[in-house]
Amino acid sequence: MNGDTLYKTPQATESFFLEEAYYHREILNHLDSIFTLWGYLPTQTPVFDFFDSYSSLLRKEDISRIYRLIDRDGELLMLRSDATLFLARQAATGLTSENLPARLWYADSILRHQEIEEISHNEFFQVGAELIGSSGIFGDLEVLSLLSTVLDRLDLKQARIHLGSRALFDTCFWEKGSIRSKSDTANIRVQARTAVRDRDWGLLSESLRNWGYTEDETAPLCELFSFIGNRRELEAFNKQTAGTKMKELPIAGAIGELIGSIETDLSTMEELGFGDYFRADLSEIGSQPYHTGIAFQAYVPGVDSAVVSGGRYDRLLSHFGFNAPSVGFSMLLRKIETQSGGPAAEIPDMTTVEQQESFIKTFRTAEKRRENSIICKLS
Amino acid sequence: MLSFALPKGRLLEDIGRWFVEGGIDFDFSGRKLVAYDSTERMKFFLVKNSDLPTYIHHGIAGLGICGDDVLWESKGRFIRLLTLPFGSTQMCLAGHRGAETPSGQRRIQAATKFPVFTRKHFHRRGTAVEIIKLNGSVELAPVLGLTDYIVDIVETGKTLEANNLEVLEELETISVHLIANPAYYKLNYREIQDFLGLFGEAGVTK
Repeated sequence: MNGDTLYKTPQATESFFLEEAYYHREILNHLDSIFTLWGYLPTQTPVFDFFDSYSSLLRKEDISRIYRLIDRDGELLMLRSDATLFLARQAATGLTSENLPARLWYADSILRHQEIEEISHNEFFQVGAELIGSSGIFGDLEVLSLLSTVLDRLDLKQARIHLGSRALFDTCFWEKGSIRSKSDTANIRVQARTAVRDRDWGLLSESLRNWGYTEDETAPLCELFSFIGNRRELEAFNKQTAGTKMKELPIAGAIGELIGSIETDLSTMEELGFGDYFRADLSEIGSQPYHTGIAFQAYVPGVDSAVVSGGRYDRLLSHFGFNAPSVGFSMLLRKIETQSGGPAAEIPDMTTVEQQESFIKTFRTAEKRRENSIICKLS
Repeated sequence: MLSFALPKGRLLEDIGRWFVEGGIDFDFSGRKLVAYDSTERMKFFLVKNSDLPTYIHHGIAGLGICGDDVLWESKGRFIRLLTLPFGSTQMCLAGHRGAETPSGQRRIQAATKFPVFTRKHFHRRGTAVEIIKLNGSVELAPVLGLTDYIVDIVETGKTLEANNLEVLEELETISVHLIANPAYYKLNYREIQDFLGLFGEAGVTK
């Protein structure tokens, strides 16, 4: 056997055992009970699917990370690199309008290439919940409160959910309003999305100018996307910026309304007792190209990147031929397992039955203990 | 407590002075690799320049100071909070004195410590490039006939001159930045904004 392959683990895979695996399963059981209480049913997505179904939804950076293979008929396949994407196709082809709204949850490993530098990122396992066929603020609030409940039950009190809106970005970079060629429009939008994500206000100013905004208009728009704060700060900001500095812009009203709906989400979460988890963050514009409305990510101290990504994706299922506005979130479970104080982290005490004169006798002694819920292994 | 990774080497003195201007001082004397400011509200790690983005990427330190040259070679994603007013240099193409600057698609060979930057730069201008990665004394490559060209940071140009080489083209200006791990920034944005405020850089920052 080649020693090099024996001791090396292929990138994008992992295995874990004993206490670590036990704890992983315990958290999953815990999440299962939460999702079930909320009326979410489990779902399983395939490990691989036809690449062609997803290719137009994938960014260049996504394509470079997915594993592709060819089946025996010569069709190009891809391994499951994003659970939401695979779930959307299954839901679009498996659900009917009578099933809506459908509440689904999943727990699946994901398979995508990771650079050596990223290997400790633990992006191997996604758990998520999707509310399919629900438009409007009620659906948004259901998903935000479900996520808050999950964080509460996993004892991740230090987690912070940064809530923003893809619609805000789309309002500022309204595709149909562009007079440029389709590829120029797409390029500016990609550049602007990167700029907002990386908080690169120089690059965002350039994108805004390229889109056609004047010098005077770019400053308040950069200020808009740089905002992070609590609900009261957001209200004050909305009055000041959207109401005053941007009032000459034709999109000022739409921006004001979108910020208003984030304020409503935040005040509802406060009333439910989840307020401490939330911050308004207008640079959260959705981590995926298919996001449309609210967009959020959650961060936990001690973890090097976002542990939860989510948002509304009203047009994703129609890409697969089924119109069902949806909202959901996906959690990178392996990232938070070490931070969670939720279910018991230790394997419960076990007893051992010593070998007796026959296996049958040993087995029966053990069974008696097990009837009393005592964990028992054979010697 | 905010944590910073700082690079060993030429920038450290300038960085120390910059922090002092903001009223923050720390001391790495006695070969220490970890230091605190006098109020113990900031923690500083001293790391190898080229490893700095790795520490930030993995969240070991939340903030760090390094040049574009290091960031270009890193695969991590960072928020560039500030461009600092010191340490700027040039990434240059150099070769034998009087050598032709490469143009068009003709394949060139270049030795460099910066393969990611070199590949991207020449591919962007439509020139095929074969890169030989070296870890130091890059100037030796044309002198010993390994490659015609080198891509390297040039500060004074004295080593080039001593070896009968010269800068053929300045490719890019390298600036020094204060960077942040994106998740760390999100969790600590108030403290980070307060810190930037010490340098008059609160609000929309770059």
